[in-house]
Amino acid sequence: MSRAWVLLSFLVASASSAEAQDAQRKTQDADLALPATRQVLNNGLVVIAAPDLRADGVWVHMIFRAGALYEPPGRSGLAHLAEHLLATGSSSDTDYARAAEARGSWYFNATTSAETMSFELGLPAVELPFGLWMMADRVGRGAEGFEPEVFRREREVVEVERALVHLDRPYARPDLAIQRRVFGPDHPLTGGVIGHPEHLESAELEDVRDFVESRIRASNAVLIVLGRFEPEGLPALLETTVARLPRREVPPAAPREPSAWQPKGALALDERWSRQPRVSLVWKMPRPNRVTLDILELSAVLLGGFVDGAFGSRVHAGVLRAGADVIFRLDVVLPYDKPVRAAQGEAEVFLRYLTAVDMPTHYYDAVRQRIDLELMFALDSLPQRGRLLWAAERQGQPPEALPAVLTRHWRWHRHDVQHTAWKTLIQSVPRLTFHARPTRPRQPKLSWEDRNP
Amino acid sequence: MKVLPIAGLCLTAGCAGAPEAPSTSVAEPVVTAAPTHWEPVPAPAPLRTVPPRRLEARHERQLPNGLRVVVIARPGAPVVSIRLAFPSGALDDPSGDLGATQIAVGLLGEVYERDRSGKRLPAEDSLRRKIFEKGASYGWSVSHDLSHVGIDGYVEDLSDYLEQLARAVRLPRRSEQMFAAYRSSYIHELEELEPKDGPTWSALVERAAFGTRHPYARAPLGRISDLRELSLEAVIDRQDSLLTPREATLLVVGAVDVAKTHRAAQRWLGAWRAGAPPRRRRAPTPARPPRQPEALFVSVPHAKLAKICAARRLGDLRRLEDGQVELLAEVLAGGFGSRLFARLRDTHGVSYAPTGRLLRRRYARAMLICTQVPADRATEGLRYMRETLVDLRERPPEPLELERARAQLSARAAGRAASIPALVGHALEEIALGRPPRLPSGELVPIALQAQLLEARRWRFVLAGPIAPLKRAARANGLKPRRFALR
Repeated sequence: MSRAWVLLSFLVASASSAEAQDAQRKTQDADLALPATRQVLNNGLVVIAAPDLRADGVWVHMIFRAGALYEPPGRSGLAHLAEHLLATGSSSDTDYARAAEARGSWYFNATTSAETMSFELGLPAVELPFGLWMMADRVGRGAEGFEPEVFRREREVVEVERALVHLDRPYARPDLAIQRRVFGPDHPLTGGVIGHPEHLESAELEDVRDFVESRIRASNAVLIVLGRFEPEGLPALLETTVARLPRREVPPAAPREPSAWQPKGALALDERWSRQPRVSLVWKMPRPNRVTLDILELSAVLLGGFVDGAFGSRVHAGVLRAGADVIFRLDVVLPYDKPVRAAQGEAEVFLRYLTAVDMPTHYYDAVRQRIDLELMFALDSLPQRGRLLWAAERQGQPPEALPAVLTRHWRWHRHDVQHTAWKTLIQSVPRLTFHARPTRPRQPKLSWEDRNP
Repeated sequence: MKVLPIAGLCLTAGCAGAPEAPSTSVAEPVVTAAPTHWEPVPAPAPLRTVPPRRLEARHERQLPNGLRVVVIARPGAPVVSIRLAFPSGALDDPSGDLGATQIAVGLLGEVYERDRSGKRLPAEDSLRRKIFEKGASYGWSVSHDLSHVGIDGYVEDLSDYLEQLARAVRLPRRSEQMFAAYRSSYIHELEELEPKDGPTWSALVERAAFGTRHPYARAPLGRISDLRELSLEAVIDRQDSLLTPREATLLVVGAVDVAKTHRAAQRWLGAWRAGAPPRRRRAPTPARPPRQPEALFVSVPHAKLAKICAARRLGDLRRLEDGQVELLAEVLAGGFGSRLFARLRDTHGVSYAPTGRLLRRRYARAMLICTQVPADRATEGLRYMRETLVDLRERPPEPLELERARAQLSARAAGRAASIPALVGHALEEIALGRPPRLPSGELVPIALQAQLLEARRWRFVLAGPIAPLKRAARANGLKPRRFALR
């Protein structure tokens, strides 16, 4: 009997007694609320402010709709490269990173995703003016001071980062192959956000300048300010910093159509780092409706919770939104001595449990309570709080709607999940299967009997 | 602790797919008119005053059985983190039974198999599963100096959690079946450990830092030969010696009522019998640093990058305070303004981010600097690291460098209270070290000691990556190569 079935049969066996219980939500909306205001400055910049006198410092987070999906064809990695130049300072005269450190910054980072480029800064409370100034100065200067020398250096650094993120880790190459297969060779995400090496190699400083000039503008950004500050003092600080940025319209980005997708059969991929076989099931769907997406999000968490490391299996599931494309992915990893077909079998069992078997109510409730718990822990930290406020904003919701945004998983009955997951993952959306087969030679291992004399 | 990747999932995928149009529902603009062009201005001065912060108080009590109860009330969302911590870890593994502590603590979260009379019980849920089904999460950990079990969950269930934890330590679970599974799993992990893995890399770095035979240089998981011979009886003995309220700490952090929490602690853990005093082993002082610079290296055939760490044990520099070493580590390799960052990334573009820190254990300390460089530039990377050490010895930190480093250390100190996990982590570190970590004084290392600390021959290097370029790098930099074997 497979390990997955052992675990799942236990869940089903214990279902009946708990079946009658109602949903046991332990939170109230107030627990997930954040007192915050949202305003739009005349230059188009959206400012979300959430003061908190219990916080030790302040958090300034600026997000641009300027991620990889806005890159021109054949220029993957451009947004990320631009982020590098903008983050630490485009030239030797504007070294934001060192200046922030000298002011006691406790966090300094920039990230690029499929949709956004963002800059995050944590500072002592007295340095809030500096934080706002830095964000404004970065946008105001734009690409004007980019130096060829800094550009060349950062391209080398990005190569190192590419090796860190995409090459030197378990399942890195299979993941890149999946990415390429799912999005196709011309898509900006074909080599991940960091980009395809050939595109990076051929990128010119002018490309980066054009990208920054067109996307890094106040009217294309959201500024989130959190932490220990008096709300009455904020308008004056905004006025001398980000409100001074000129209003410049953002050229509309060409709508990206869902990318091509030819799911068929199972593809075998070589895995050089891990000795454990992995199976990945991948679905790509163009523009699913919001309810379906909500439920797929919850389904991914439910799948991830089926196994807690017992029996040596690992399950990970997730949903990735990349413009018009939505990707649902389920990974199952088994111990080294199992064949890859065993992983495939277990993945099918987990999928069946999500889509066909009656899920125990107590398990369903426990997972939803865990989601609430993790969200409340996230709201306890300034950086995570900022990211959750952004999650609401990007969905077109004001800050006061945060509890509603964060607790959508309580809207669905487990039968809704079962039905939608069945309809989407089994009936209507074709899938692709990837087998990551370890290629490293196995050393002789002790048998179970040897380990337990 | 293991957590479901829920929040991360929510953030990366945006908590499901709504249209991305910005909301138009809120407030009026505050600014009269947007300018037409940008005029740079100098960075502003800090604010003169900021609103005062309401600090969390720490409420500490000791129960008659010796258990220390520390409660940190942090108003906010109704969540709580609980840890029951013991200042004893893998360092106290009985000789010949290395790995016993890890299994002894791991079994606490599993199942009861027999009752007190030895009669087999019907199958039941594990403690982990019971906690999971309350919507909370159970976790445990064993390091060299510390063992702990804990629960992250809802404040309303605090009393239940304490009851469960009290039962776990007063009547430990000792399942034969799970013992066999844990032992097998750890042997498997030790067989599998590769240089790419975190635990192997840590063991290797600690080996460089404290010496090959030092107890801190072995994996807390134990040793294959010991685990093969390990018996359940030995694990039960280890549970008996470890699980005593004497010197243990119950840590509760979250939106709790302090008085109620103390009452609940007394109710569930007050009757826990003190028993015999815990047996503790003191780790020897690490041997003096080598007289010849060495490189330990390991082969990672397919890696594009070479991982390089340099370690300097500090047993011969007892007069150095932790804060002084931290300040120097910050100047050397902490963040964007450090010398190593300037050299490796700004000047040569060979590194993403070097790091520098003080590696602290209860009985030993070492200074560490680490980075990753392209494997085909390992010779260069290693040379830059060594030259930066020499340079700092000859050219002590300048006032601006010190100002930046002090600001960074202060920021890190403030960050210890920034969230519930940070408060918990800080308190556990204090228990592991057996003393409150000293806050950085901001004092510079005296010149004479600095010269000793940065003496090139006292540093040991660890290199991981494709073997040929690593060997070339070691030779070109005059390091004596030594192969690494974990088991």
